[in-house]
Amino acid sequence: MTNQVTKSDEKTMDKKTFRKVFWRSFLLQGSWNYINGAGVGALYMILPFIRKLYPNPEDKPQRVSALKRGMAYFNITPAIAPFPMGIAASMEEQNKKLADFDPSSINAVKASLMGPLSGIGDSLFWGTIRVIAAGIGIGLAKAGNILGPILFLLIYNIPNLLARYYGLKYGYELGGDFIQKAYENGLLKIITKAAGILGMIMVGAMTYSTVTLKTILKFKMGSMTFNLQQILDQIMLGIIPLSVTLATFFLIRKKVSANKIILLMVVLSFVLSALKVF
Amino acid sequence: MLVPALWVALIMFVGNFSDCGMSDPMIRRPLVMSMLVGLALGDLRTGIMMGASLEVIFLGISGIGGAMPSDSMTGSIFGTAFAILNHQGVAVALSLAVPISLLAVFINQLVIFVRGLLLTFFEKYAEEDKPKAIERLQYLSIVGGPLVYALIGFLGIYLGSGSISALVHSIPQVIMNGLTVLGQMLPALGIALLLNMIYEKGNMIYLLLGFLLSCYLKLPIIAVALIGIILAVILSSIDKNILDVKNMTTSKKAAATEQNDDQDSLEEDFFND
Repeated sequence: MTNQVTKSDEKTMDKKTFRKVFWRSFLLQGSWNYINGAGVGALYMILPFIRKLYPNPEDKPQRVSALKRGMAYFNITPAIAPFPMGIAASMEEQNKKLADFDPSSINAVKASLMGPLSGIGDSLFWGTIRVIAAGIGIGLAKAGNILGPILFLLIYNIPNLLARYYGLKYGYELGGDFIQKAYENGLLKIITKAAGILGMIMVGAMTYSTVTLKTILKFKMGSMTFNLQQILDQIMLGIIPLSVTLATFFLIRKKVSANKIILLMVVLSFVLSALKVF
Repeated sequence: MLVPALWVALIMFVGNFSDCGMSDPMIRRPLVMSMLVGLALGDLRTGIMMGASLEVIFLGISGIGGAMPSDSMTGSIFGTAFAILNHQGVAVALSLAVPISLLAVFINQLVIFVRGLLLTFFEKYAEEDKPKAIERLQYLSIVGGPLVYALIGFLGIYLGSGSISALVHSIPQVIMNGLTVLGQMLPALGIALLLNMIYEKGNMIYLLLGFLLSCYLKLPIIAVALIGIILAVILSSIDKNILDVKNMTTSKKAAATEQNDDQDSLEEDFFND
């Protein structure tokens, strides 16, 4: 598979086309469905590029096959999508230039990148950046500060925009070679792992600041009153939030559905508050 | 109720549009949606604070791969709107938001189902070389879903607010206490779901680290994030070094075996002669 961009002759992806494809990347999820994923959106995204590649009426057969190819099943973290689409665009260009290019390799590369890139994209954007943004946003918003939602949006969307812009740029320039190498030699795994570590630390911090359960249970022993919360605080601060969260996590790992857990929590909170435990 | 209903319809439209027409820049999250509802209905502060509480509950619930266990956007918008319009506390609003978010999943399923039906047309247009038609249908598809949400937002507030408020006023104190406790317990589910997303064997220890940093050291969340970033960089650079060494040895080995192969083939050639 040869997919290095030949830099000698002028590129199909000029500045104007690049800008069009970049803005269209935001509409990727528009026709999302279970059968095709964001396949239609992926085609819509590189349509300006395909038009530029095959502008003439007599190119119709090639254009039609490019249109059909572009619409194949595609599902990926949206922020990461411009990167494989840039690669796909550079491969479409190769396909036109090289006689012995196998066009089926375009979708093969797209499909093989979808999994690992979504893995890294989900943990980076959903598990890490969003959690940091939400942590900071919630902290401020709790006190009614409007900076909460604003910072939340900014912290998430600046990396989101950068990943889109440079993803498309480098995807197109590098072609498929680079990322496949990173996948094979294990670099992608390291990035995913680092993102996971950061995500776990953030989730840990948020467990303390958001699960605010405290017991109001008191024992009477003769003339002494024991406040259970005080005793627990001496053992370990925040032991109730941590155990409740870990117990819930355990139930999820045991494949108990979220709805059943909600139901359980409804029952528990009514019973325990009636018994004056909480 | 006409004006609030129109506002809520608009916010529903914007929220859902941001998902399918802007690739989900987190505008549809409770933190932002509740703020907008607060702004539109004249109680910004309550909106922001409701958003914080709801964001925690729905933190772990995300639409990855289209599987959405609950519709946090619709739940938060209605929960916040009812709380402000009926002058109810956060606890009641939270308890309304969760069941609404569970019900609202069906709207999403319906919209996705209809989009699936459009696929036949997209395929036909591609076959017939009509890129313009593909674009037009894509735009229609992007606007169609949000319009459904807007309609539901309008009807929900216009018809539902009065009856919900009567219901809320008749709730006895025991139940109100239970709802408050529930509001404190539900965030655990949000966090546990999030945990499930990023959990891998061996990284639970980092959760404990984050917890201790904020619980015993009382560090603000930004400080925890920065410490986390530094730790992640250190650990991944160690991993990178190990990987480099591994790649080097395997490439040496590969080179060595290649040489052996060459010798083998030489021998074969020798014996064949």
